[in-house]
Amino acid sequence: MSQESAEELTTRLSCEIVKDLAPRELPFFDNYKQKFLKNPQAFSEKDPKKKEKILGFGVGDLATQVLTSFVLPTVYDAICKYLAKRKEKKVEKLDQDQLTQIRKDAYDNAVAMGLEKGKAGLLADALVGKIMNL
Amino acid sequence: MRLNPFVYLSETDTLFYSLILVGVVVPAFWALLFGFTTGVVYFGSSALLLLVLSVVVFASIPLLIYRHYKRSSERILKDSGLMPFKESLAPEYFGYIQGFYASLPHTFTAPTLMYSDDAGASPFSFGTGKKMYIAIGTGLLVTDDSEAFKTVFLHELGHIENKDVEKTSVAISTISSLKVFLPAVLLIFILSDIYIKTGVLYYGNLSGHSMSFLFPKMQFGLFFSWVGAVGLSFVILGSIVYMLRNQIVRVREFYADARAVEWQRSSSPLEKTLIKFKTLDSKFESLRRFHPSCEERIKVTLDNSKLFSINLWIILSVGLLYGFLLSEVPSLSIIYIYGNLNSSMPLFVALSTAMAFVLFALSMFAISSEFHKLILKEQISAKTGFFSKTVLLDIVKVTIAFCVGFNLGFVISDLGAVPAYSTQLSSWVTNEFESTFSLTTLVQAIHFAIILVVLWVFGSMLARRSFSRKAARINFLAVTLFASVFYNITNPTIGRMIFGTTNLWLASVVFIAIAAFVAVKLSDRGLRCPYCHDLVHSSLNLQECPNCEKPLYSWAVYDF
Repeated sequence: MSQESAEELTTRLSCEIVKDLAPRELPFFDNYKQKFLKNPQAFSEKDPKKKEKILGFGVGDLATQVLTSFVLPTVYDAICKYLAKRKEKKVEKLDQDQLTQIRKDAYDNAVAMGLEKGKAGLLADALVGKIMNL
Repeated sequence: MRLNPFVYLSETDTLFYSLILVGVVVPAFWALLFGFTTGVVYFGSSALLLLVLSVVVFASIPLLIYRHYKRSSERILKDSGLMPFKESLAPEYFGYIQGFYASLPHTFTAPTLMYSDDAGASPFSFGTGKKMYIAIGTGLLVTDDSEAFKTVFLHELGHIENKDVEKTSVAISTISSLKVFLPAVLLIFILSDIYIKTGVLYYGNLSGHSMSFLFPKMQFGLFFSWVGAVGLSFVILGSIVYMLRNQIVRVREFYADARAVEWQRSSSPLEKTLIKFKTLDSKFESLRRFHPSCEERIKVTLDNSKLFSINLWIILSVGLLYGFLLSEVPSLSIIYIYGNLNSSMPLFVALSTAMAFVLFALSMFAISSEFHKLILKEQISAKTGFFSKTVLLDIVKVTIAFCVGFNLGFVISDLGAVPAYSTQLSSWVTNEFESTFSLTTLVQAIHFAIILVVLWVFGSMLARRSFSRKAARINFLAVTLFASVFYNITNPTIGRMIFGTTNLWLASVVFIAIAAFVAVKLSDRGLRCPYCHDLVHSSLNLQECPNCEKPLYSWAVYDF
C-alpha cells in the first residue's frame, strides 16, 4: 500500500477522532491537516528557534490543550505500523495482541509528546476502535 | 486598599527616554563631534564637508529606527504565518470580544484579531499607530476554560490600551539600528583614517606610495585605540539599551495585568490563570525573560504597593548614565578640540551645554517620577506634610544614589577614554580623575540635594492635581524643566556667567523661585474627576471627588 494512502487514512481517522474527542477543534483541523501533509515527519518537532514573545502573556506552553496537534502524528505512527503488520502477516484484520500493542505504542507516543495521560488514554482507545472498524 | 497604578508616572517613561537618549541621541552627537574633530584637525577649512557628511550619515539612525518600526507589523504577520480570526472558528469567544469592544469608549480603536496555527503559541500584541493586532494561538481558542481566555485576551488588550506596543516597538527598533550602526561607524572611522593618514584622498593612487611610506603614516597605535574605544563604547551602549528594553517590557507586564484586573473588576481570574499556566524558571532564566515570574505577578496583583516604592536602582542608573555621558562626550571632546582650534569653541560649548541640559532634564524627570509614586502614597495615607521623616529620608537616599551613580559613571568613562586620547589628553584625564574625589563633589551633592527638596515641594503641589497619567506627565514635565533651569542657574559658574554680577545672580535665583511658586499657586487647570468628569478644585487634603465621592487615587471604586 502506498505512503499516500497511509496519509489519507491518517487524516480521515484523525478527523473522526477530533470530532469525537475535541469538537471545538474541528474548525482548525484543515489548517493542521495541510501543515501535517506538507511534512508528516517534521509535524511534531518543536521549533528550536521559538522564543518568548515580547508583550505576550508570558505563560508556559499552551500546546497541551490542542488535541489535534497530538492526534495527527500519533495516528500517523499507528497507521504506518498497522499497514506494515498487515503487509507482513498478509492478513486483513489484526489480532487482539497486535491491537493491544498498537494501543500501547500510541499511548506512549502521545505521552512522550507531552499530552496528559488521561487524554492520551482516550486518544489511544479511540484510535484502536477506529482501526478495528477498518 | 489597592492604589490605582494608572494615575502616576511609571518608571517606564524614564527607562524609555533613557533608551532613546542612549540609542539615538548619543551616537548621533558623538558622530557630529567626531566628524568636526576629524574635519577640523585634518582638513582645516573643509570642516563643513565633514559636518555635512556626519550629519547625513548619522541622521540615518532615526530613519533606520523609523523604517524598522513602520515595517514591524508587516514582518511579524509574514514571519508568524498569522491568519484572520473569524467568528466560525470560535463563535463563543468571538462574541465575547466583540461585546467587550462595544463596551469600550468610542475613542478606542479596536485591534484586529489574528490567530496562529502554532498550537502552543502564546498570545501577543503588536502593531503601529492606529493599526494594532492581537494574535492568539489555537491553544487558547480551543480551550474550554473561558475565564483563562478572557484574562489572557484582556491582558493583551491592556498592552494596547496602555500604549505598550508603541514603546516596545521603538525600543526593539533602536536595538536593531544599533546593530547596523555599530559596524557602520567602525567602517567609517577605519576608512576615513586610512584615507586621511595615507594622503590618498589628496593625491590619489597616482602618488605611488610604497608600503614603507604608508606604514609610518598609519600610526597604528592611535588608530586602533580610536577604533577600539568607539567599538567598546558601542558594545557598552548596546548592552545598556538591551537591558533597558527588557526592563521596560518586564515593567509593562504589571500594568497590562492591572488593566485586565480593572476590566474584570476582580483579580481572581488573573491569579487562577497565572497559577494554571505557570512555569518554573531559574533565577538566571528569569533575567533573560520578558515577563516577571508568575509568583511576582500574583504578588503585585494582590498588593500593588511595590509599584509605588522608590526604585533606587533607577536613580543610580540615571546618575551613572549622566556621569558616563557628561564626562566623556562634551567635556573631553571640547578639550580635545579646544587644543586644536579656538575659534570653534562657542559652537561646541553650545552643543555640549545642550547635551548636558538634556541629560540633567532626564535625571530630573526620573527623580520626579520616582517622587510622584511616594507623593501619591503619602496622599492616600493622608500624610500630607511636605517634610515628614519618610520624605526627608527618601530625599537623602535619592541624593546618595544619584551622586554615587554620577561619580561612578564619571570615573568609568574617564578610564575608558584614556586609550582614545592617550597622547593628547592623558594629563587632563588624570587631573579630572583626581578632582572627581575632591571637595567639589560634596558641594555638588549638597547643591543637588537642595534641588531635590525644591523638586519635592513642587512635585507635591502638582501631584495633588494629577488624577490621570496625562495630567501627571504634563505637570512633571513642567517640574522637570523648572528644576533643570533652576539647577543650572543656581550653579555659581553658570549663574554668574549669565547674570554678570553675584548680586544680580542671587536676586534672579530668588525671583525665579518666587515666580514659580506663584505660578503654581495661581494656576487653575480645570481638573476633572476621572469618574464623573465634573470639575474638581484641588486642595491639600483632597481624597475624594466632592461631587461623586469616589476616591481620586485608589482603586476602591471597584469592589475587588
